[in-house]
Amino acid sequence: MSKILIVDDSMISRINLKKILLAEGHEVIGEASNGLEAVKKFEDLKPDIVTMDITMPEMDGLEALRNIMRSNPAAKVIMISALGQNNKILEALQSGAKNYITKPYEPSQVINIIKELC
Amino acid sequence: MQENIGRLAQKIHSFTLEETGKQVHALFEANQDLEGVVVLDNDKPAGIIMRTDFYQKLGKQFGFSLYMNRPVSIVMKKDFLLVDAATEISDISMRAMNRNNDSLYDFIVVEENEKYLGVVSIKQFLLDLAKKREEQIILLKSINERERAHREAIEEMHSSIRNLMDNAGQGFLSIDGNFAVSEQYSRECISIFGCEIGGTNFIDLISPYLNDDQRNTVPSILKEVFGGPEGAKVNVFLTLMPKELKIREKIIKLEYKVIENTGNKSLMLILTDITEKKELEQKMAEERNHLKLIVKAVSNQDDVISAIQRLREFFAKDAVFLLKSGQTKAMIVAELFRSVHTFKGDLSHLYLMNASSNLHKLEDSISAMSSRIDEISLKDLETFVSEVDVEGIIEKDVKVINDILGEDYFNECEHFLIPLDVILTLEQLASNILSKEDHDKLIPEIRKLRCHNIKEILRGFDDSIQNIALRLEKAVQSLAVKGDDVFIDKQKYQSFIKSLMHIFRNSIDHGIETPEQRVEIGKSETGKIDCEIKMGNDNSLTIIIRDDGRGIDYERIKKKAVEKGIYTSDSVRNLSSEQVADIIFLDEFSTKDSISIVSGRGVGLSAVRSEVERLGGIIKVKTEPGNGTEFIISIPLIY
Repeated sequence: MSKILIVDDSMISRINLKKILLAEGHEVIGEASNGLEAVKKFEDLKPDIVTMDITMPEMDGLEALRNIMRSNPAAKVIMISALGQNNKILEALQSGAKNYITKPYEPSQVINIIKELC
Repeated sequence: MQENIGRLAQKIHSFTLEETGKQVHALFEANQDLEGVVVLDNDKPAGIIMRTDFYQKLGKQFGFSLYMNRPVSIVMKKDFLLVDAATEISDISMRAMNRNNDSLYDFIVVEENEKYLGVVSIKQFLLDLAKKREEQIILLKSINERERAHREAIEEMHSSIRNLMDNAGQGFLSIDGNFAVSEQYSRECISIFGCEIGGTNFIDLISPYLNDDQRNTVPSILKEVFGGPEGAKVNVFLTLMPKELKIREKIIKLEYKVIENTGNKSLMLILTDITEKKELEQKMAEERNHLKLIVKAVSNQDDVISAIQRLREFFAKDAVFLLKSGQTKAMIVAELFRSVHTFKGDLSHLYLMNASSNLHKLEDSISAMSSRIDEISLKDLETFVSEVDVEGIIEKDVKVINDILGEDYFNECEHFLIPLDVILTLEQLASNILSKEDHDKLIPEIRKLRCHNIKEILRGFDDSIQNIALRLEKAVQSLAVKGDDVFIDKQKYQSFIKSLMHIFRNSIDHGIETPEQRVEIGKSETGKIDCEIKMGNDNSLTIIIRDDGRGIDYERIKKKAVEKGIYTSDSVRNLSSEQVADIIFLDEFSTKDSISIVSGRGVGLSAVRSEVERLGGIIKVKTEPGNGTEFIISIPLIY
């Protein structure tokens, strides 16, 4: 079971994802609603896995990812993207993201991707 | 190396002989990658149903109706390759290969002790053969003395694989780290790309068929696939490759697999032509629509005929009149747009889908005109209206009706068992002769002869509601209509009733949340729309249409009204919530940015309001954020 940080600017998305993760026995140790907050919470909480929405205000998911990877090359970050963002996903994977999930997703997709990373 | 086929068998979904085609269809729909299913008679395999066969049969004339509700035993293939689990794989390859071209790609069904064990798909079979072939090559390198014998065996196997690949009707090709296509590829590749492809650069080869986004990403993805250090992540990158491309007018499905042996990495591609499948799916959808059209045409002949008649009349008379009305060009275009939009809704309500989609295109042209209204002269507008080909717009749907119901369909006028004037005379007589008491008793009965219960009329919307919900991926319970029985003269209220469709559309599109969102906020997954009919003492009729959706977002409406220039940011602040609600009935207002065939142009609610006002009624809207919206319409009853 992993300690997970959820990063998404939409509260509904966060609640939804949290529900899926908790049901599977994971622990959600923190939530952030923008990139800046994500980087800070990552340093404070040291989660096993981060789920990172791509489009967010303040600092977007890509930049937050790069920030996190710079100081924590072993970080496990999964990107959450909307349809039609293939170029951004590619950039994220090249910058060190481990995998990605496209919205809307099935709970099983999330669970499987996290399982692969553990 | 000897191995049994049982090892490859995979248990897939099976049906009993009694289950229906509909259930098979549902399973295929839900599992797009499922190639086929097995039919069992108790535990014994009795037949197989391959997806392609199934939809080919369904695609034939009346195939849909013929197979959907009947047992799968009449649609399944009884002639299929059935082998015992202990059979050696090499024995089966020849038998599988020697099947007819049309069954070459069928499952091999495996049984054990005469009981169903599982199936082996040909793709899986091929991959297994290919893998074994690689293993054998490695083995050969270390055992010199056997080399010759083995090479012969491999060549034989190779040519079997080659034969299978060439006949599989799929393109197989592989590319190396320099993105060059290997000289070994299946024949189908030539027909897909229209040329020999050995040695060409893969990116150059597919580049003409990519969109801008893909053209930018594909080279980088391939670079990662071949250069990336991590094994598992390669597959993550591969998911970003195009899965479907239109290559030389054909729709091709692409699958990718990384093959790694002795330090050499290559990427194998499997290309499948799914054009026919897509066309069949489209044809099936069309057949379903036509069936609905015919049902409507039979049950609502007068509605269908009059809708078409009104469309013709609009362009022949009303539109011409409008052009000469002396209104501004902008107003004329707005009125044209609103009328076409309403016709579009009417026709789609009657399942004249081809006509409705033609009107959607016409709407696009009108909306393009309104955006450059200053460059257009009245003369241009006249030309535009005179060039609208009404017959062309309705041609396809009319032909469907004529083909099935006969040419006389449109020539017959609406007939009553009792001529209408007789009823009217009866009514007249009743008023003149009878006492007030008797008159009040009898009149409603006579009116029933020519009038319809509004509850019944409203229930008729349910079909369209379900249809729209489906298209917008929402779930809505079937329309509940309750309240008083009020009989109205359909003729007099026709255009008003049609306009109600706009309210339903709005509720589904803007009000009802997606099932996910609903569950999230603790509502039941399925949205609810209901109607209530009230007969007032003052001979008025009240219709309440309510939904349990998200309600109207007043702040969003205000913001939009300012953006659209309807109000200034100062004046909007002083509006009462009632005044804000009224904005949604304005011609130029819409809260959705995208335009869909279902709604979103915002003209809908304004059309309802003008219909209600034409009848001397009023429309109000009440909303409770998060809990739903209520449209309240009161109109006087006219007989």
